[in-house]
Amino acid sequence: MKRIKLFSALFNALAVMLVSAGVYAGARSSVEVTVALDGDGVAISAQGNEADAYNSLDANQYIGCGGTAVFGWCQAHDATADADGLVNAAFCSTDKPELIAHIRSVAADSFVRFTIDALTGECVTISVSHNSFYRPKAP
Amino acid sequence: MRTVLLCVALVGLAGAGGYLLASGRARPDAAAPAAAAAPATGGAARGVSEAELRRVVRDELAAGRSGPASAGGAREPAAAAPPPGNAAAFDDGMRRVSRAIAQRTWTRDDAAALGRTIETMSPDQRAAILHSLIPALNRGEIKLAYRGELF
Repeated sequence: MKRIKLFSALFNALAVMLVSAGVYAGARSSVEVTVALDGDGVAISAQGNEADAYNSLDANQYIGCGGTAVFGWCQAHDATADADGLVNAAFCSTDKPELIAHIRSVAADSFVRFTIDALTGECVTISVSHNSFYRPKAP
Repeated sequence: MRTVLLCVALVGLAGAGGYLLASGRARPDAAAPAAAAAPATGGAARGVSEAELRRVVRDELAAGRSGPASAGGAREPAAAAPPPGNAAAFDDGMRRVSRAIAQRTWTRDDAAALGRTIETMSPDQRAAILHSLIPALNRGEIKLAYRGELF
């Protein structure tokens, strides 16, 4: 009888811990890098979360943007390994101040999405999001 | 009667004088196109060649493109002109892009070299290089030989 009470107490304690963990976990989302192609097989957009790309199990993914005071660029690569004829990366550049401002706001765990003019390689749009449900980079 | 006629004559004289004064003030505006055209005819009369005239027009157009005129009509100082660019960096960049397209690979060395100089190029030079390199990357015709910054 004593043993049953002990198990019961332990079970209750464990349940409380699990419920607490569930309550305080918060929403979590993972967005690994994807590259979209047009009908001709040319990369026209890419999106993903920087931290999820970094934390992914493959050694191929990356996404991010960089630049200077007068121009900027974004680049992304999905999870697949490079191969001849495979379009698994996307790039764009811009000299538009409003897009350069978006690039400046990109952080280490940002979600980034960019769309591309297939003819020129210019960035058409750049979206950046920082949300609590994105996990940070793991060490 | 004589006095009346004298008064009428004086009033008429004053009116004519006023009209002449008013038309004299208005003349500069009304005559502006003629004044603007004057240097060309005057220049031709002074023996300015057509080539010289073309050069002047080109210079003026270029100066007009270099920056907006201020409210008073005076041009911005020369500092507002676009940077002249970097011909050597542009040539090297285009050479690297051509080689990358031929060899289907963009190396870390290419990235570092372009990264060092791309900001010294004029916007047109930079656009010419990027509009060649990036579409080729997006078509999969060039692959990055490394994982890192494009330049």
